[in-house]
Amino acid sequence: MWVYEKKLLYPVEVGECNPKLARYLMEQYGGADGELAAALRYMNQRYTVPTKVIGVLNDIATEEFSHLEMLATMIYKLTKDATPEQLVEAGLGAHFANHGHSLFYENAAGVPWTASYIQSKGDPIADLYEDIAAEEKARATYQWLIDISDDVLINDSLRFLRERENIHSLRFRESVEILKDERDRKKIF
Amino acid sequence: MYRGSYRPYVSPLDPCPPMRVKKFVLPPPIFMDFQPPDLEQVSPREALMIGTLWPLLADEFYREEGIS
Amino acid sequence: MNLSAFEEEREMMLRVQEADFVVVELTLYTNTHPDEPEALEQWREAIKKAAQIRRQYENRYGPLSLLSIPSEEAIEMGWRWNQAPWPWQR
Repeated sequence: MWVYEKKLLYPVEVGECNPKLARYLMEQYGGADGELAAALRYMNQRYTVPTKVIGVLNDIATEEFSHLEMLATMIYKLTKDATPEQLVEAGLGAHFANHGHSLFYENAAGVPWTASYIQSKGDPIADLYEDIAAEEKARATYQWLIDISDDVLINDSLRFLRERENIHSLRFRESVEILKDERDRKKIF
Repeated sequence: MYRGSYRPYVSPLDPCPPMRVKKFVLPPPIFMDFQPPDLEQVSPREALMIGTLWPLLADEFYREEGIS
Repeated sequence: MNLSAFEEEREMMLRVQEADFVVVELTLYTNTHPDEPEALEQWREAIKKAAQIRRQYENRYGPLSLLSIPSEEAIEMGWRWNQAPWPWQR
């Protein structure tokens, strides 16, 4: 089970009301390579991976939920007091028509999140390679978000999140190495 | 240290002003299958700011780099 | 809340975030490096340190999670779990 902590993983700060930037950030909130997809992917794979790598899946999944909360905080703050006109201008008119000021799990283009973004193959190497790829794709997404954002405070949080993808990628790569060490030695009779 | 580059083909018919050199990221974990013990660490404050305890694994990314 | 009290709380929260982050980072590390005595010791120390810093914060501002016991004093002073600001509102 999980216990809620009334704090963010990282001190998120937002410079100005900017609903257009909020829209772009939704790519990492409810997109294919976003934090929700990451958290749910690892949380589900952990049941059927070899014992030695369960902890990595479990703990990275947990961390991804704290990243999801950081993204939510940024999106929430960037749109909280925006007028409907500002939202329309930012390309969030369709979002507003359906969801008002609330958040929703969808990508930057408004496509709702779907479980078909993620996989669980029941094969440890297939799963870990997907996880490494997922981390690299998330890292790349953060790069493009940093490129199109001129909010230095938002970029500070995005840089933190991007770096976490590096670390997670490394831990998954190490997990592959750990499994290679489990290779059965040829038995001599 | 964690970046690469290449020179793409430029056609005289390309509509946008050409970027002669394209840069891309070669992130830290691809150079390390397994993190060795005793990598240099930074303080807790610095770690939170850069997103890791080990500066060798941090390749900070800025829009000013012009990677896109 | 006046500005300096606001800043003071933020600074203490930042200390909690730093200490907790070191625990997150070392937990992932020891997951894939389970046989390094030095790393395990640093991990243990980091957890101890994070608990200390958290206690300092909570003594002043109330529990960050329900794994911490709210003091009678805090309840009397009006602290409630269900009270703003929530982390995304700060």
